[in-house]
Amino acid sequence: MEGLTLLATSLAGLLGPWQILYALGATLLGIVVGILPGLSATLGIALMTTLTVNMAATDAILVLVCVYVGAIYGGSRTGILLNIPGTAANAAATLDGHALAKQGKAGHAMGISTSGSVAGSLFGVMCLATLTPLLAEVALKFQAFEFFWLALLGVLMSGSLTGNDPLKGWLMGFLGLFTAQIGLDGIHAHARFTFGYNDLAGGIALIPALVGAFGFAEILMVLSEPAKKAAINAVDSILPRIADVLKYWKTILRSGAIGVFMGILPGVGEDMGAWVSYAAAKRFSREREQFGQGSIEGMMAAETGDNAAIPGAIIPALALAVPGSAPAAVLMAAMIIHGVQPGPMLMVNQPQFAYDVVAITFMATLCILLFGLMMVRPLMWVLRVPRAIIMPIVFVLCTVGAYAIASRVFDIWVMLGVGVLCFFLRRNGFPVAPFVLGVVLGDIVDKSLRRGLVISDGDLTPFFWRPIAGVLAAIVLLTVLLQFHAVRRIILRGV
Amino acid sequence: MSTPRADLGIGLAWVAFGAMVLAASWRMDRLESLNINPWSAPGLMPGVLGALMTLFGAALAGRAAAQGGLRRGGGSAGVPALRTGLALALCFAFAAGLLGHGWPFWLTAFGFLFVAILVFRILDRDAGPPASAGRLALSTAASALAAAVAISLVFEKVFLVRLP
Repeated sequence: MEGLTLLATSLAGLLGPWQILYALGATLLGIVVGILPGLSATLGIALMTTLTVNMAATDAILVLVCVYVGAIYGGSRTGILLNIPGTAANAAATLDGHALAKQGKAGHAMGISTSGSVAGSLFGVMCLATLTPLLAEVALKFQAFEFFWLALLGVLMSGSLTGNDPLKGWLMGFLGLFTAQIGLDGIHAHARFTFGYNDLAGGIALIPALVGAFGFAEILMVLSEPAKKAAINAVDSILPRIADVLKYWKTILRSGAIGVFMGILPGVGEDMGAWVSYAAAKRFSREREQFGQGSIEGMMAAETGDNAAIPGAIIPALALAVPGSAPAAVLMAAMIIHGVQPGPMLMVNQPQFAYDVVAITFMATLCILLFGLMMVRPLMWVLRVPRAIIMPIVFVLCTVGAYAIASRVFDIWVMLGVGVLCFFLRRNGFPVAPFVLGVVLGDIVDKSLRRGLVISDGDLTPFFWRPIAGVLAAIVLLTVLLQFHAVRRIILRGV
Repeated sequence: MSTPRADLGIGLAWVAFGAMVLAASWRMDRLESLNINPWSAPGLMPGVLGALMTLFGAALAGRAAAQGGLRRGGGSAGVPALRTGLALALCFAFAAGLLGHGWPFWLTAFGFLFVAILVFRILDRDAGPPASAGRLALSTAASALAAAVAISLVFEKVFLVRLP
């Protein structure tokens, strides 16, 4: 009952004219970010964090969540029309979306994208409202031992699942964790790896590093390859069909649940939400042979899954301070910048804020429904702007974004350095998302390990024998060991 | 995009980097003079990470060697040198060379945008409709000016954010 009162208060607070304007503007901007190949939800949130730094916390988070939801939704447009997913989360939807467009049903595909995204997001919002307090209550029992494994699990899972090679993903995760160690340490304020430079004593700030990893590196990736001619298909009716929703309600519910679950898993994110939902829909479908050939059910599953993963990824960010995806990691960092401390104590100290996020995500869902119904055709012009114009403009935004939070020229250097490093590593198959998770979670991993060892006086057994810590440790070890063929063979033989 | 030979080189670079981190962590002050608990020494976590990067870097290099990375001619994945070099040079010239020298931000941004957009529109001209040189320069100048002024105004006047 108390939760409902808090939620009603949050919803009422979002009905002001400025809040509605922020929500509409930010969702539209997010859709444009998603539509433009090369611009990710993570970069959109990172840049908008800079722009909203002087706003009130709730307004700033409203803008950022709307950009997040809008970008994941908007990315399917490019997938449907150009066969290039706007964001990684839309890759699964592109399989059937572009096949439908080739059959002259691009508008229908966009309608399915809208209905699937709205259904997934609404399912996720319900889970966000109900699961966040429950998870936070469980997490109140967590000590340093559990937080150490949980944060490490996030980095390793992200490394296992976001690229094609887990070994490279883990190395990027460790590099991110190491990057977070630079500067004054969180327990004794001792300078680590600063080499006498005052700028380094403040550490590598998250936003400049993120803007470099997702912005500058992506700009270099795009500009280093020749442009391809864009072929935009004709668009038929874009109105979502209720009949599709009613026909595939089981797929929607299943994909929503899978999306939320994949979102909650630390470091996994929206793209896995879409792929696993798609695979499950194919497994249970009676129209299995149509998957990949323009299946409405397949597209509905992928779009429901990736959008349900957004609130799913916010749940652990709020309740555990361990984000479920790279965009959620930036969102969490933005919350900290605005004076909100995510984690188990959030529901004790600032319960209203948790419900504000629920209401904000609900509002963002209404905005994508509105823009899905009204703005599909006008937004198509974005795809016609040459990338030779877009990318230099995005670079100027990256420079401003890196500088603006602390007004330090050093942060521009960080953005450039991280960008060049991530560009060359990405070209060699190293994924960037684990690096970001590592930078965000580095402080928790460091403090939790040392606090845990101080509590146990150097005894490692509590890291393995406390019930929850033991389960998390087993998952971490299995995540790593199962990637080795020899270990997998031994385990399978044992089974 | 990666090849076993490239992975071998990069794996060895990880090993070297991890070993350096491990060595620096080992030599880091353990603050014994402050009587801190030895398990809270600041170099503990970086040392663990250095060891992990060394170990996993060696695994990457070993795997690459087993996949034929030691053979000559495997070469690393090619990077289009001209386009990458131009993008890097333009971005560094703007962010590291021009900013912070007292010129108005909108003017610096306009200069960078004009040159960068023009260069890449010329390089990408096969992908779009043909345009005359004058028209291309004029439309590029208009786009660059509009973007530079809009970014300056939105950040500085609307959102009260300081610009470099």
